[in-house]
Amino acid sequence: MREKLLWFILKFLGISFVLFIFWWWKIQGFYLLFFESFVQFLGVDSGIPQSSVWIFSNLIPFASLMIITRGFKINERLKKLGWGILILIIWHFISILIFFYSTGVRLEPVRIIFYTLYFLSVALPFFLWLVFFRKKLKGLFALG
Amino acid sequence: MKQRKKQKDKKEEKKGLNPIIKFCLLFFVLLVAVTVIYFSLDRYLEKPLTMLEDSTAFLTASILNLLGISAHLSTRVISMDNLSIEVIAECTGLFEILIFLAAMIAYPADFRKKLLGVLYGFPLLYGINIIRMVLISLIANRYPQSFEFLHLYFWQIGMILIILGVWVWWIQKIVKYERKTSLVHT
Repeated sequence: MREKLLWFILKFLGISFVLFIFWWWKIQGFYLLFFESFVQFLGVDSGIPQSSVWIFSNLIPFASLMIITRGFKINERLKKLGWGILILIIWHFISILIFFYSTGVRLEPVRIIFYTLYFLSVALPFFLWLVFFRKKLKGLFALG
Repeated sequence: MKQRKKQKDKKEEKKGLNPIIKFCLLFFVLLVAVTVIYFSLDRYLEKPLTMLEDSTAFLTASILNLLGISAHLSTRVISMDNLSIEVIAECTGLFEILIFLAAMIAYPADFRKKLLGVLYGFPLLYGINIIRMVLISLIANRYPQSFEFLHLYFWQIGMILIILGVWVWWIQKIVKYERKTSLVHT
């Protein structure tokens, strides 16, 4: 990561903002519909719990990080982006299931599970970025 | 010297996991541990958490007033002309601090550097969070209909930005800088 940190942060803010506008404007609605059908498929009438919808937007920081980090050809970048999005969608499915079955259950462990999911959902794009760009980010972890 | 180092790195790589994968696994475990510890100690942390919420609300309202926005603070609710916001635990930057703490502990550095990371990193994270709060309030007070969007954007992006930015800053300025200077001295 030779690039200046400030420049990297500015690019991240800019690209994320544009992607977020698209997400907010169109994509989020379709994505929710997609998950609503999944929940209906499970035979649940109440739909997706509102408290869980926020986790879906972790697709944006991941996509931004994949777009702005230098050092990969477009094909490879798209491949990694696709894999990452697939992993995040699977994560969303798992989270929805956990949220769904824990909503309304007033037990301490359920609250801990809820916040653990919250932390992990925030950190997951960062994990994926580190794993996909591990060769380029080796310098960051070089010891000695 | 360099060749020896490369050979050592290769040996270490063969021996165990890639350091980044190792970091991710440890980070993941620590995140879960931090969450469980935090919520297990929840009732003992009520007072400090309230103080943190109060100070965040006070600082945000004071900066807004300095910027010419009339912001009234009542308990933890900041009321402006077109918008009122309540400062809750999620608005204090505490969760970012917990995630940063997990990322810092998982990174291979000695204890003193991690301690420096706490000393410099925590106030920095708190400061960035206050800027985030002021920005959201400023824009949303002007355009109230944009609040939901801004809240999500600054929350989601802010989280990643804070973790990534402060964590990389800590590695570059504290961990690596000290390594370089100690090499020069030896």
